[in-house]
Amino acid sequence: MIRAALVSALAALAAVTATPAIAQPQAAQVLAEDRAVDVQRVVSPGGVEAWLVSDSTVPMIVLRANWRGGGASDPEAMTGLSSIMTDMMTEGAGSYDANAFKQRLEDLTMSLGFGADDDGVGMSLVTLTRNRDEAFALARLALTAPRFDEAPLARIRRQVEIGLRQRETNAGFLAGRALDDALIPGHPYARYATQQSVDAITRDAIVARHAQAFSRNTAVITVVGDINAGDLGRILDETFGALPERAPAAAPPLADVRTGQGQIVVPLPRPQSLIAFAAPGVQDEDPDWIPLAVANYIIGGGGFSARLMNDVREKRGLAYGISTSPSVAESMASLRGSAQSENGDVAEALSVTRAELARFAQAGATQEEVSDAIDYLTGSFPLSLDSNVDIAGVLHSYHLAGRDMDYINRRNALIRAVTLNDVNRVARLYDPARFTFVIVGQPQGLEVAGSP
Amino acid sequence: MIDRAGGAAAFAAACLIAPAAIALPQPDTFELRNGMQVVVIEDHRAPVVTHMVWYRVGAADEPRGQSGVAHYFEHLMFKGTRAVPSGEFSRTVARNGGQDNAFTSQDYTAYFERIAADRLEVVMRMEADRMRNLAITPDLILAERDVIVEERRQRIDNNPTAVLGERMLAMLYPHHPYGTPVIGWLHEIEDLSFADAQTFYRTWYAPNNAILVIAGDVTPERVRTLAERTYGRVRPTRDLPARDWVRDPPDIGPMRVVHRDEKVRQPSISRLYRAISYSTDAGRQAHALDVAMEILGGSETSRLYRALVEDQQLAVSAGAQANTSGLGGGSVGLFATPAAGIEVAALETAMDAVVAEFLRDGPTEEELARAKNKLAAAAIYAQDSQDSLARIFGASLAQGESIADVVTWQDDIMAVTKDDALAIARETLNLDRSVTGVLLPAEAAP
Repeated sequence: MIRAALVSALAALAAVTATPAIAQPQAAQVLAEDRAVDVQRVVSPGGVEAWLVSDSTVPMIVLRANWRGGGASDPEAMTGLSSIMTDMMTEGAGSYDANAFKQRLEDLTMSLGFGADDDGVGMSLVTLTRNRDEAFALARLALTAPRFDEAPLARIRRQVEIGLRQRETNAGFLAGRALDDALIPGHPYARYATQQSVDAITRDAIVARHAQAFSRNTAVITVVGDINAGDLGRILDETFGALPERAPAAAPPLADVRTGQGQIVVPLPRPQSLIAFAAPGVQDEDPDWIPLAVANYIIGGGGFSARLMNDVREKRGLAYGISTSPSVAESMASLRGSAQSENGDVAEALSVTRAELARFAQAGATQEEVSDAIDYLTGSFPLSLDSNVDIAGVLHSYHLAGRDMDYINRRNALIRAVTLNDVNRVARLYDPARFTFVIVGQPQGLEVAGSP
Repeated sequence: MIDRAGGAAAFAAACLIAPAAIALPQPDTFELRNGMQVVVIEDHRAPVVTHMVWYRVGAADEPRGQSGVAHYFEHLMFKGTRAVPSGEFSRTVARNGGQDNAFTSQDYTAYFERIAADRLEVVMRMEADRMRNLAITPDLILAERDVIVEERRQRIDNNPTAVLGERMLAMLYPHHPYGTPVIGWLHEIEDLSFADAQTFYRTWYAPNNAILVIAGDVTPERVRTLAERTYGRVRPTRDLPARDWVRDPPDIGPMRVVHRDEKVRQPSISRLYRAISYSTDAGRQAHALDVAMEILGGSETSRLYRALVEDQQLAVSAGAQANTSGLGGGSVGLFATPAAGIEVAALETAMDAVVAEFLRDGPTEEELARAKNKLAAAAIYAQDSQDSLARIFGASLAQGESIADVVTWQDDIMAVTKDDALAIARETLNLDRSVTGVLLPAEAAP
């Protein structure tokens, strides 16, 4: 699995991840009924579709686009191909070499990025209204005529080489890889780029990958800001119209997430350990997805209001923070959590965490907790929709997850309908026996059970 | 800048984009009778508000030997008053669909809530209450000290780059309080007492040492009514101390520090120079320094990146940063990570050559125009976020600037000339006021 932040040196290049936190209720709540988001479907004369929220308050335009088919479909021997291909799309296009292209981006004071994750490839563009036509013309050039020159490709290889080396002592990376190895061994999502796989990626492979990654008919496009439907229609044709038509990419095979693989220690010399834990979750099309958002807020998602935060941090000072969240990819659903504790406190932090998870799974929540969670999740929704960039992020995540155009305006009602019974049903998913715990650091006094 | 509950990156980024500020719609401002300054930035696109209280006190104001007390105290502000018991503050905000947090820097401490516009008074009442009425008890605050220790480990001690950065700052500011980390030295955090926290609170937390910034779906009239009803009733303090920090000798000579850690897989080099800031400069020097550093190392089209990463292929990353926002002065930094097989010393020599050439010839007119346009455009993009606007105005005011400075920032950037940029770059990039830090893997066993 090659993640967006795979290579720290590349982070600046890959400023966009392909799949924007698919419809996680925690990150993308619902709209206040009194001020609905006015979403239009725009179909260009050439047949390119987009969702549009038109608002001219700030003279800027935000566009997000995604195509299915990402790193999980890279040949295993070339793991990392999609990421390197998309990184290269802003390294020269048309008559602009890499440096001239970046200067042109700066002269237009726009931002343009392409990126890949397991499930797809994505594009993000932000421009001031006054440079609109030139900005989209440059985006079209990157999309349809990237040069893939040898010099920037060699530079990216040098950067990836260092990045691969540096991540070997990055606790977050080590924890994620250990969890993937334990929970979904052998699945494409559990593949990580290596020096060998990156060396195997040729320019020809990049050109071929680019040629089949983008299309006009399968693009999922969301636009927010200072543009009307008529102008957007014309711009959609100019920007995306030259892309080929093709059949939608196949989804990665369904990941069968294992439960309870015990406790795995990954040694790393540091004064504090990272504790990461994960278990099978619920897909976002499942009816339990919304109740899960409420349950997660109560146990580990709600900042200072959550039970885990209260027990691990507030009462005992065992960690600076602890949180849990539901996570979905196209072919995988999981529950995830993490905390960092001083090496000598890890055993206590783990036992407190397990005890809280067990109490929640067995006894569930109270009606007061459910009401508080609903009040927060519905009331805080407008906070995530107060800027063009934020609206684009939330709306695009719904668009990509296959929600309907009005979902953003119905979401609060769905959350309000959640009952105590619903929450207690999904609370069972937090049974600590379902989770696998990974500890990266030098934890003291741990009994390691089930470590491979 | 550090945060009560993590998620600092986005906030830090918002502050870095525009160190001083940005040409924006003129906010409304007025002062309450007790001396509290109020700033209102209207944005009626969404029915929400960002409410922030900025105190003109930070880590740089800590008594010697009590490093970390400003940040520790920031955590204690959530530990309850008689009216709002411990934990109830955040719980009430959350029940009203809001989010709250706080952060501490060398220069200021800020508390904020983001919430539906019709709940604004709820947070104003509670924030005004804890300004003077905190009722912390010794038993409540010990677990919180453990939390701070974990926070320090998470942010600094786990991370070799952060450890090196802490050492470099201690050398860059051998006497000035900026040489002490905001989160505090571990041995001093562990000794912070209840009395230390109480004294800090009584000394600095008062309406006449605070700035209220509200951005979002409100009018100045409504804010005035609510502010008079809440903050307006808090008594000011009579004996607010002056913030006159001890100063460093001008030159410290070229300083050097090497930090080794077995987690380091690739060496890197960075250098810090002491610099002017928006609050210590004359005229437009800070604007000119921001422009100069953008050209030298602010992007992948910059001098450093092109020379070291693209042309000479000695590095995989290289750049420069300007921190021009400090109340007590600023700093600029250079950084580079060598490519595989390249010695740090060779990279440093090449980096010095890029800097020397820049200081000899200065920027081209094309580079100058590109950098200025890029910085100035941030002013328009910043208008998209009420949260960013509130932070820009709040931080700028807490760091000694005026609203006018903020509003004309874009014009002042555009007025920077090649000579301005070159002059301040030459003055700043002086090795006699610098610390060079090298991060290396652990030495191989003999």
